[in-house]
Amino acid sequence: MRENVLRVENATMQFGGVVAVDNLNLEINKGEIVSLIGPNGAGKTTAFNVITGVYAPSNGRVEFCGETIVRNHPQGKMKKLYKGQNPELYTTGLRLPDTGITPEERTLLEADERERDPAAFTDKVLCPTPDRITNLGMARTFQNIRLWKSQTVFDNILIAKHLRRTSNLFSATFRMNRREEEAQRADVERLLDIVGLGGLRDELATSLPYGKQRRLEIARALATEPKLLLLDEPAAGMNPQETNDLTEFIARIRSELGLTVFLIEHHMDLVMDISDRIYVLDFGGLIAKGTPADIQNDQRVIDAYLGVAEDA
Amino acid sequence: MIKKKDYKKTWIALLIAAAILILVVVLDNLPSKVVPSMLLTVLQKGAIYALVAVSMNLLNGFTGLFSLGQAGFMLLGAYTYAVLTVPVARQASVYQRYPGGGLGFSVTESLGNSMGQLGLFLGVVLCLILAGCVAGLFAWFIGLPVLKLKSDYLAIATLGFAEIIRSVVQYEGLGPVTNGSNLLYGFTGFSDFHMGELKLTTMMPFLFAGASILIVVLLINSTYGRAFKAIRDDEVAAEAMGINLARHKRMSFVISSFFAGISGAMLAMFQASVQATAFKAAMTYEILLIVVIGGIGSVTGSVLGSFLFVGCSEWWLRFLDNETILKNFSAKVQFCALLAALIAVVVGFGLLRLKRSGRKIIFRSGKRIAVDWGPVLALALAALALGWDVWFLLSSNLKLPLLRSGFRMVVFSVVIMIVVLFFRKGIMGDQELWDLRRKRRSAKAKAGAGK
Repeated sequence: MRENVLRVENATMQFGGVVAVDNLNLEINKGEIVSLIGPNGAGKTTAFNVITGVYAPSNGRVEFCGETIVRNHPQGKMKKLYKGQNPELYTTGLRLPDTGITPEERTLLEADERERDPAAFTDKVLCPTPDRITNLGMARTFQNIRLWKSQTVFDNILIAKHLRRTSNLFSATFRMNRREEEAQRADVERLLDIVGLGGLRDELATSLPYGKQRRLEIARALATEPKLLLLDEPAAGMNPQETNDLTEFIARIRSELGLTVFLIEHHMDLVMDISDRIYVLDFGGLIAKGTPADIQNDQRVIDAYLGVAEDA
Repeated sequence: MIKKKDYKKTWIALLIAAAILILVVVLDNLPSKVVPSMLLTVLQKGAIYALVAVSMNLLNGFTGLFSLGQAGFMLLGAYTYAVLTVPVARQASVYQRYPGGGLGFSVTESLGNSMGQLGLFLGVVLCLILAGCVAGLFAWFIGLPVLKLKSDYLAIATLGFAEIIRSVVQYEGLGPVTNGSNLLYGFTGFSDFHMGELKLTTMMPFLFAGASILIVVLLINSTYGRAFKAIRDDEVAAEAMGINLARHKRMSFVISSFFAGISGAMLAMFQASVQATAFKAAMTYEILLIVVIGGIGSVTGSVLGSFLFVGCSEWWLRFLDNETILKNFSAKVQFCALLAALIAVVVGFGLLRLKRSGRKIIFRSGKRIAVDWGPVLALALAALALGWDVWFLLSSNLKLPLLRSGFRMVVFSVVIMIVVLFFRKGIMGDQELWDLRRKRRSAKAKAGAGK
């Protein structure tokens, strides 16, 4: 069996009365490129935000490389207002079936569960801030480009190396970390070459053309040394030529750097080209999953994208 | 290769610093006929303000946290320093309203007695660091709740904190330590430093402020400084790239307050007395003004701005506060000619702006073309001033109008308005002096490549 990198269980994100992500379950294995698609407003970016810790989900659990990184369940006011499924699931960590197993099996399973997640049988809520999740090895880009505007291309990537520092405030201020600093700079040069921005290192990030800004954002995410790369609409606003380049680029970094990639995208050529598997969201819920070929022929997906006649 | 270049830069910086220190010592020891005492005052106070402006810039300009608590932290530093260094013999008279008040020891006095000038120096350094630490410690605690706020809310909360600190220090119950709302005085000041006959009064603030600013600059250019700038540019992206927002913001807040505390202590040394009422919000605004004039996000800008500000408010604009009566008609002619020349310069700049903005004030057959009203307004004002100038020349009055106590602040406010309206980026923008040279070189290289 392939090594599991990301597993999302029962994730529900509710804003007031709106259920933006409804009971999402997905799994990503090591080395895969997996896409999340869906019509506008389907909750794709919200799903990303739940995984990366921007939002604490109303309910559900996210596992990264076998370790639980996010866990929440409806509490307080949300207990009454909660509209999703299985609100009791993560209050006790009971992911085991009630019937059909012997007590011995249950004990074994429970021990197994406890080993995977020491806090599994408590009510403990686990909602780390995005920086802690990035530290674990998950990096993302944004739908609307969020580069550091007053910084150069080089510095944008260099800053992202900050989280892998070993120097403390004192040693960094008094330049006792020269070796580390040089290693960081060398690494940034390498990344610049990989994404093909080597000649633009001293330009301001915002002075780059759009497609290159996207590439820079990916390079910046790569600088955090991730195992899993999350790309939020990397081809948005790109012309077909740029999209083709990007497709090749994503495939290349996957094979060269041994990454796992999870992406949201609207360009179907790109998605169908490089995805190993695809998940389809509509109105917050998962409506289909499978290989690109499966998805292309799935009636529910076609309906979601094209619409269905009301009284047909 | 890179290392070699770095060493060269370090040497140049050290040489410049040494040259400035020597120059200051020389200025300090020239007879007072040659060097006006005002110059020394401005240099000392300017150095102190430079440090606090840089510390505020670290927070406001480099981390993007709009805080207005600087005066509060300066006050903490000033009081810590003063309380620690009032000589034992003078404590009875300083704390006369609180018999038995005072600490019963003085750090600088005991070190100074045992080791002379070196001991005094070490004692002052120790007390300055302690002053910074007290300010930093308070900042750490205040930062816990306050740093969750953003922009204006943070400014209001920190401003409120500064006012609270000011009231608490004046609280009667703390009298035996802080002397309530009374002056603390008699402690070690800059004028206690000398090397034989050589006065070091002005060199000391330069040395302390310079060393502190150097540390801030090193910090800003380190990996942590880069993280601060990332938080300023885009918090969400910074957090997504693994920068712990709460931790880094608190770090910046504490460091900024640490140096504000040190500069507060230095201000106490400069004034030779401390009173809580001096550290009002107005002081924070002065520092904010320096930061804005110098350029938000520029250390050299803050340093230049503070000398400029202190120079103007203490010295160059002082004449505006004095009622002046010209001696005779020829003096009046001279004054009017000077004013006319000034107006001519302003008009020249206005015309230059008009020309550069490329908008022609021509009304083609009924069609209005957009006009840049700023320069037009400036020109109109200049014409008005010129008219008044001529009128004053022809009138029989010898007393200069407007000049009276308080007019300095009016002029100052107008200057500030002009800066904010027309030179919003301040003197330096977000550039440093050393950036300018590099930029010119790279522009040259680009032009060369273009050919």
